[in-house]
Amino acid sequence: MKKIEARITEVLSGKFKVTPSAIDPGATFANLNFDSLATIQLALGLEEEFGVIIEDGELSSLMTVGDAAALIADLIAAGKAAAGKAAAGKAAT
Amino acid sequence: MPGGGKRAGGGGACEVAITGLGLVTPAGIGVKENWDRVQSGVSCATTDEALREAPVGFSCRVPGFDAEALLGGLLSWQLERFVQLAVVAARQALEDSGLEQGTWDGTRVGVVFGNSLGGSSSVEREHLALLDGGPRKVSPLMIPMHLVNMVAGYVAIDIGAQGPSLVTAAACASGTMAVGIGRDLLRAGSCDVVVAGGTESALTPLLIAGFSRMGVLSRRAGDPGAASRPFDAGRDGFVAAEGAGVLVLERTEDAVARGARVRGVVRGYGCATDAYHVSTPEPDGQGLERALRAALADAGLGARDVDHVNAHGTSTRVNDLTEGRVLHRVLGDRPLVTSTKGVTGHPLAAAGAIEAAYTVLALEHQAVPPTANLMNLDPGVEINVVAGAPASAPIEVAVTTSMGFGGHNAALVLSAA
Repeated sequence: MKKIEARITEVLSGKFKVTPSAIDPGATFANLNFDSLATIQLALGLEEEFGVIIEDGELSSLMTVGDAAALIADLIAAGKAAAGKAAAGKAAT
Repeated sequence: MPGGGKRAGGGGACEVAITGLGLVTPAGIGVKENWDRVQSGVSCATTDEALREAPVGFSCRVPGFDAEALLGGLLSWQLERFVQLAVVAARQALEDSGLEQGTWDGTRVGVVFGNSLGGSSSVEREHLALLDGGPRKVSPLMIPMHLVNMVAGYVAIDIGAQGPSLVTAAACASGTMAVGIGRDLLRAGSCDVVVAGGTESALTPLLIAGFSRMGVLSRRAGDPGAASRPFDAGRDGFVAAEGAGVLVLERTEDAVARGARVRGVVRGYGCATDAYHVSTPEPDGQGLERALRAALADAGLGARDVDHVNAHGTSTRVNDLTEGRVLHRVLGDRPLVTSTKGVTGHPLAAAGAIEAAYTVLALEHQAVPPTANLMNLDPGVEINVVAGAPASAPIEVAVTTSMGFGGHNAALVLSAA
């Protein structure tokens, strides 16, 4: 989880130009001045970074960096589980 | 003003003063930087890496414009460059005027900006995203970044202006119209302050290809610095540029009452349309002539009162010949004419506002900048174009003209305070 938080911080400070000192796991994206449109843009940036699909509404400006890390961890795990199932299914056929 | 003979107002309507200037152009970021560069007569055109795949690979960009440093991290990616340039120029102009958000009634502050091409680069970028990843990869910011009106919308947000706001979209006449319409809002009593300007940043390979296909760009790739040469016999097209210019307008009586420094006065404004062709000016320049005569009549002044003209002078074959003939026909050969586009290139919808600001500076300094690269005046142009070095002369009244695709023509008559 800490690794995911660190990568989110990197995306925020790199691609989205947020001052690194303002970012901590308890900061909401609204605290970082992300409105609803900017938060959707952030979701696109995080999709690219983590190779996941964040459905509309899954990431909100009221979430913290920590919340986003948990969401992404879940999506990565779900993706791995789905990939595992698919692989198992393929093997069985 | 000595003699006072040129101070008669137009129709008894209230006079409108210019109390602040802001300039972010290829000639520099800041009013002093701009004036020094246009007075030097040295062109800003240079090879443009971003246009290496475009049919014309040079342009005039704002040098050293660091949006992150000037506007902060978030605005560096949430605003398109044409809005960023305008916000920085508007902040300069307001600071120059001595007006400040929080010290005014925001509901009485208006914003009028000229723009034409909006955030074209966001559309180009997101079109690639659509082709690459489908609709859900398209940025939710594309629409607000693209809309031409967003420059008025965002400048209003930035300065807390809650009065009338709009964008004038009249191609290369947009900036001049913004100043004229801003003046009219003040005369009508619709608000007490207008932040009026023009902005453009559309130096993308697609747009340059489009302009190139129209045959309006200079092809002097071997010597970009000599490419923008208004009124010169050897001119072959304009050099595309970006930039923003802003003027703060107030009724003169209000400006004087608050002890503001009046930098200039908007004496007259006129506009007219060719109704002829989408890109070629009417060959006799009748539209421009009507706009110019309307501006003079609005000012209550005659042709002989005009000492200086900051011409549209784009450096295309057709524009300069048509405009030169109109200026000669209406004003004769007495006024000192310049085209500062020799230095700045052609900043399209921003041109009129930038050049109105340069005209105010010419009135203040009693000096006319030289037209860069003018070596041999086109024999078809019988006007007094300043070349080589700045010309010092008494300047009481000055005119600035603009012509835009679509047949839009506009003229402003300005005078010193």
